Amino acid sequence: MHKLTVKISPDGAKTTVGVSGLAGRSCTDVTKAIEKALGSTESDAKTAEFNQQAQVQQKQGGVS
Amino acid sequence: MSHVATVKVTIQDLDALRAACKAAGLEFREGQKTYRWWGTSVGDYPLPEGMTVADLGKCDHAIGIPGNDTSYEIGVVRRGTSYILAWDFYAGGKGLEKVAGKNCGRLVQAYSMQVASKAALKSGYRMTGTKTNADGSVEMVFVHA
Repeated sequence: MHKLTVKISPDGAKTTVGVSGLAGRSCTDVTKAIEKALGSTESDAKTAEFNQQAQVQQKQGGVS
Repeated sequence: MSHVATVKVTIQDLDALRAACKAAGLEFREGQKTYRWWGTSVGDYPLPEGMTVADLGKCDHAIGIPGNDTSYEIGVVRRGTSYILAWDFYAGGKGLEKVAGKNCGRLVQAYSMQVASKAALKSGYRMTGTKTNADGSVEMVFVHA
């Protein structure tokens, strides 16, 4: 089970959308709908957990 | 956290804005074409982005304080597929700021909560908690159903 956290600034002007418990590109699919509904994405940071799947795929020789 | 995105909020969803008004103690005035403000531009502050002096006071809908005929109102001004919120904040907008928040922050925050909730629920998530932090930010947590 993965978790989605939405944090909204006090002035409401900026929102941070984060996913935990999902590795790889599937987490960006999850947040894209929310980001688009809210407005325009200013920055996008992928963490070590995101890169886990990419590294595993590279070792196995697979590409998603 | 595997992925974090920062989004600049723009007003796109009028249903969410209507719900946000209710949550913030404001009234969405459907189809009202003018909003209450000082009435004349004195040029002491920059205009809202996307608006000219001639646009001031005109709107597609308005937002106000229920039962209050003297406080300034917020103009909801359509620009393409989104909306600008315009208001006269001089002297707290004659009480508007107390309800809508500084720079309409409380209203915009309520709007963002509505939009994020709708999008998360549509994607198969359910809300498990909401908390307000000491700095006034709000955190909403969802898990995949």
